[in-house]
Amino acid sequence: MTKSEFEQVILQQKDKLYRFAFSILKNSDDAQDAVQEVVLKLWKNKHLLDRAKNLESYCLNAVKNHCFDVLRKQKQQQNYEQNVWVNATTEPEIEQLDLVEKLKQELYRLPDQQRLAVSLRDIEGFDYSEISEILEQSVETIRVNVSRGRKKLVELFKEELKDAYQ
Amino acid sequence: MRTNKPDFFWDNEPFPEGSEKAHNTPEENDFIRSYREMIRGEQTRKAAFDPFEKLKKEQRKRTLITRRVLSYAASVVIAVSLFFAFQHHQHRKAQTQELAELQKNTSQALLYFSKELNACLTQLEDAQKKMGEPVTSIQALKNININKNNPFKNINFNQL
Repeated sequence: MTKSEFEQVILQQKDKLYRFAFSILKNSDDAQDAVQEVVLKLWKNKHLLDRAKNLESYCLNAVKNHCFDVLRKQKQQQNYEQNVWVNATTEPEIEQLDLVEKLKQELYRLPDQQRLAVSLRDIEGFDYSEISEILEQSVETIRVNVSRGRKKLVELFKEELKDAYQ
Repeated sequence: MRTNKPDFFWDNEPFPEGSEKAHNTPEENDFIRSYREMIRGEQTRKAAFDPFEKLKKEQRKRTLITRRVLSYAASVVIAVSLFFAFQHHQHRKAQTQELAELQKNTSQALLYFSKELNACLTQLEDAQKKMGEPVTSIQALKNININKNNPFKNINFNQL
């Protein structure tokens, strides 16, 4: 793979990679940093890119691994969900947010695996086999995670609606 | 048969346009609409950044390191070359000096040798003259005086 080919591949996927990194790290600067790091790693191991069956999945998988490494290194992994939960529940302005914004927040409150599966399926539009390649899980696990994630979202949404109507 | 759970959660398909079915509750249809809008919003999430920034930085760093290594190697090569050139120069200088000294010594030796030869020849001439003279005169030959101060008289030229 030549440099220009590599640049073309990355530029095509830049936003997707960023969104995926953002969905894991939940921070724009960290997500940008992660994408840049992954691009550097991919370039260093570009011989592996040539062998990859699906470049998109391969790049997203690299982003996922890097982002989880970042979280592990920062020792935030343990507090991660707690923090998100605390942030989400203690935010006073949540009541004023519109339904779409609330839904977005609910999405970010989902457990990692469900959130990533739902994001990749519904936002990025990947099929289950691609998601299973990216997340290194079986297709069945992905199906279950997507289904559970969506179910949770609709339940939380209904509760929000009830609260809003009351 | 209508169930409490909306069917779009079970078929594991993304929400296509028109997912709001007649049998869905208004809440479910609200959800689908909001969800679709959220997806659209998330899909437009973009960040203006250069994904190659770190790659470029790394490449600049690598170029800089290569340049430094090359300049270091070049300076080492220059230093080593200078050292050997100096050594060679010193060696040649020493050789030239030795040769000049040898030349000087040889010419001096030749000079002394010729002087000594002249003295000997003179004394030989005198001795020849005295051959016809009485015995007492010939006895004077015993007193031939060789210049003992000649520093080269004992020199062994094979050792040089």
